[in-house]
Amino acid sequence: MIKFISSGLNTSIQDKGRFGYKRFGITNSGAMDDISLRIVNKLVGNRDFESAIEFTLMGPVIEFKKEAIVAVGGGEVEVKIDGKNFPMWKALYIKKGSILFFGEMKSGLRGYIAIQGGLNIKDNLGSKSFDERGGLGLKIEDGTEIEIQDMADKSVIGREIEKNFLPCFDGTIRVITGPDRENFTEKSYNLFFSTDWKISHESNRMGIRLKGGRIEHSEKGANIESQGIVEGTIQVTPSGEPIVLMKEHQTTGGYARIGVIVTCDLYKIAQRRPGESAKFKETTIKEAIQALREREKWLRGIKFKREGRRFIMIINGQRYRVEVERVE
Amino acid sequence: MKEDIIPFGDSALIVRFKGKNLESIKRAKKTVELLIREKIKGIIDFIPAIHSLTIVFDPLVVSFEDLKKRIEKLLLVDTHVKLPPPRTFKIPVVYGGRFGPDLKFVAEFNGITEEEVIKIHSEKTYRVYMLGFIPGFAYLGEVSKRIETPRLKAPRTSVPKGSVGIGGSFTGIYPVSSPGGWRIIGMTYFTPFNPEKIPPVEFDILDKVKFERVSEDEFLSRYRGNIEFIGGSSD
Repeated sequence: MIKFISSGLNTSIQDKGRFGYKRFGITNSGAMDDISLRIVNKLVGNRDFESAIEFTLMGPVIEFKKEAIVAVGGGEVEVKIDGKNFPMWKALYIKKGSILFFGEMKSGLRGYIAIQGGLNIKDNLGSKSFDERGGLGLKIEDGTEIEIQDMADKSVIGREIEKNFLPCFDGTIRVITGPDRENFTEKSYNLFFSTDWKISHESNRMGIRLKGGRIEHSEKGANIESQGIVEGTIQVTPSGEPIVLMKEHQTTGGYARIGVIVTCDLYKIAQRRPGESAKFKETTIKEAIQALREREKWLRGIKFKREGRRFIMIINGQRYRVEVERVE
Repeated sequence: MKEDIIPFGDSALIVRFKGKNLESIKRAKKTVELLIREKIKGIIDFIPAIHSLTIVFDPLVVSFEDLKKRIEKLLLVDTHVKLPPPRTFKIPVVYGGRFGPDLKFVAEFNGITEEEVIKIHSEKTYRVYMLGFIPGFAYLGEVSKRIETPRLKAPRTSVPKGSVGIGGSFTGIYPVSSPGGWRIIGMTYFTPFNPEKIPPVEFDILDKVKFERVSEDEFLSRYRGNIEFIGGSSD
């Protein structure tokens, strides 16, 4: 079992999300930065989309009531176990009774903590992801206790990701023209792509508001007949403010959609802090799918290194494989 | 009538239906039925709406072009699908007062009395036009022109679970507490959303819904959990 002595900020359990229920008004939810989720899970030997802990800027303080293997990823943050610093993006052994906590997040917005075997909480409609409005999954509060699986595979301890495989949160975000292009003038459509947007403080897991310009609608106006929307949709409100719909977005909406962020760049905007900049670039569906294909190949090909060394020892004629690793 | 099928980002598409509201919704529902039967690989989610059906898919499993071709074929035969008869729901509502703080506004806006609003709202049988926004939220259409009322300009930060409201020409129930901009005229103890059940939502599109006025005593005796009120707690 683990106990959250302090919950941190907006900390919840997230996995891939909940699928197949949008026609009932139930949103996907899931980890905002799915790339970091997948990498930390790989590090501890979990399947990619195992449930993990997502926090925002301020990490939780977690007491481990049994030994575990954990890995921390996402925004750049100091990882401390019983007061000592440990690296991110590495499978760490935590002994029973230890306390995991975090320093200040230096860049990025969201952190991920994977625990080998995942978290033993109830599935709601096929997912453990917290969905605030649906009241599904689990939000972490001070004092929350969660059962974790027994450690099963110690061989991953010390596993690290090679530096060139660390996810990059910077850069332009690619966008495909939205289905309501006609609701915008040539001028306002171009303005969207030339503006250096700032992430608004009124952003959350449902949506990210963009400040720094006003996108005017054409004579067709801001409102469309309410219909299905997807993650990454950029809708523009009657006041001309773009909103990017994120994991906990409402399933239908009635504002004109200027564009849709490509699937493989969603994690980048998910890691931008309020006040930070976001610039968008127009792309095609073909390029978006090519990029997605390459990313999946990249994730499959991620290389790990281990700091431990292996020896074969022969004792009394019997061969033993021995692993040696620095403990302190 | 020919439908448009257009891409929506890299992982979704929209089928656009034309024609009258109920006819178009029927086609969207029949198309969903066919898509479920066909078990097309790569389809993740459907969102039928009044003149559209949004389909979310995994573009690494099925391409937009292939999916479009398959849907076009289904759209030639969807009218032959027989839908199960719609179910009818009777929704008990306590109107006005602290349960429906906007009843007065709806009456004044339309130049009628509160009693007339209640009578008009509860005498019609509505149909579920679409489900969306929040879990189990049904857009019930359409209310009489005599009680149509525009949404609040600035939505409330929290509308309590069970609230019954009017938004333009639609009426609906908030299955969970949520921010919202509809004019709240009453409250029900009926809960259309239960995540422990499959399907988790009672309503399906085209189901029939009629509101029935109940007394405050009956409402209070049947409501489970703590009642929240708009603009403060109860006394």
